[in-house]
Amino acid sequence: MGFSSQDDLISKITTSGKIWRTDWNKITGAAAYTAGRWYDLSQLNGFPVANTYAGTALNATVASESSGFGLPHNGNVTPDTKHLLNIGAVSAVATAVPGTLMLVDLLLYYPGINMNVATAQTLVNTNTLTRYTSGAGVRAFLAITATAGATAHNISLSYTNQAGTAGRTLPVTVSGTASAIVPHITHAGIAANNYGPFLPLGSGDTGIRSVQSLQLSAASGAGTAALVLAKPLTSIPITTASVYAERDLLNQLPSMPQVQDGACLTWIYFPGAATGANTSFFGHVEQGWG
Amino acid sequence: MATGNPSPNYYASAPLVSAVLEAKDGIFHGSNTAPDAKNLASLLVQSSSSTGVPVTLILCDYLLYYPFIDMDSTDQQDLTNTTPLPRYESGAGVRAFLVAQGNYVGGADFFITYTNQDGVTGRVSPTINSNTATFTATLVSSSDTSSIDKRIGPFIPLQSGDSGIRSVQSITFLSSNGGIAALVLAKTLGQHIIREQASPNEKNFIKDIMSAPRVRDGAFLNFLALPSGSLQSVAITGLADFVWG
Repeated sequence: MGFSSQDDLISKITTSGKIWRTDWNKITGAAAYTAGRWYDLSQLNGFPVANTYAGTALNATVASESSGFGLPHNGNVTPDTKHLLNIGAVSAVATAVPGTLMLVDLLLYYPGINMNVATAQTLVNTNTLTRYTSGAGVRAFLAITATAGATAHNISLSYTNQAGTAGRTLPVTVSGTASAIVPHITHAGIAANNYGPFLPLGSGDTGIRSVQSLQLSAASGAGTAALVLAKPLTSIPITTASVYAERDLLNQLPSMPQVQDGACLTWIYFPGAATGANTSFFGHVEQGWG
Repeated sequence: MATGNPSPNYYASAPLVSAVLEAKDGIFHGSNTAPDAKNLASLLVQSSSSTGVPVTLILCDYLLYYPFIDMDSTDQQDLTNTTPLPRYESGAGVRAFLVAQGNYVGGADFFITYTNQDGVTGRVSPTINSNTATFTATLVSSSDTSSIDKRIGPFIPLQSGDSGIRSVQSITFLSSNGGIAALVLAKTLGQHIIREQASPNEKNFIKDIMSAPRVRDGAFLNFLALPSGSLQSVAITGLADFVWG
């Protein structure tokens, strides 16, 4: 399905009422954020509720709209297809800008990664991707869920790519951040060997179907993390405090990313400035289907 | 609650009892059009003042309110739902905000219990904290630039898995907050900004941002504002165009 023309789209979102808007709000919590890093806003209080990455440690856990921590988007629409029409966001806090918010469909995660061991941690893939099932376009990030220790460490993965090829590894040295806080995507920053928001893929790979193991080069001293597989959908810069940033995804940036049935929509955030504690964000996501 | 056209709304009715606002008392959008559907086509806003701008404006359909909540009381205040939602009856996408009807002190935690969009009762919002803005018309539930991590707004967050509110059964303050307030259920329709003084800002809700928000018969339209400074004695003017068919 989808939309055959702008007339068709307008008819479906007006006459047929096939449109849904979600207003969201998040607050960063007690710790300040560092410019140039990426942070996982799904773990923050607000609406939707904070994501705790619940589940059995190291076991693949599927996320969906019904998980409760993603933006509600009014359920499944098959055989119609649902698409992002426009998004917006604002913060009244001067240190929250400039920044960039990226909307992702959080597909699957491996909770309870121990940041204090240097041995390979085998991940259990009883559950597999339920959306973007080949893995094409699916990316991974490692989000801290309990503050990491102060010992420097690198991160290595063994994963299966979008073509089903196992044993794929990161193509470069990737460093986690010593003493990384919740909800820092620990390998994202401006230090040497930082890459973000997503872990780099091996040469020729376009996505990740599953991850078989993760290993740190050294025990950091403390902490846990969740390894997340997500499909990036769109992003929006916020440039000025109290000025609502908007993105039209039909005419301004034609893309209308599809929101698949069951999508677990969450935000990750790139602060362009040192962002103070307890910084609040508000925004919306509007979708139409047909 | 600001003076001007339309006239200010003071949420004046029986305490703690649900009530609705009349369309004619909000931003006028013409008469009812059913069976035609009415949509917002464009919006122009401007201010001649340099204070308060830039400001973000959130256009809402104010559906229902519960007035004169005593923010000093630490008792559970039960709300009476004689009148249900007049539009968006299931509650899907309907959100709540708490607005001060008089000056207050602030700083207290509070939460609400409600019925969600599926009709499930006994839902409990996260506990959030009142800001200390202290002035009438402030959204008590809104965030600010303080160091309090429970000031989340403008809307009161919902329990996990919920997408809206059908009705509210109670509100409880965990300590004295001072003042009185109205709990309002509203549906957001769109948003706009005034970026700077004396610069009219136009927005087409089809060409500029594909949205065309539906304006239901009987809708009471008005704005929530997120200013960058005081909006005291600041004049904001605007023009809205609606289409139907």
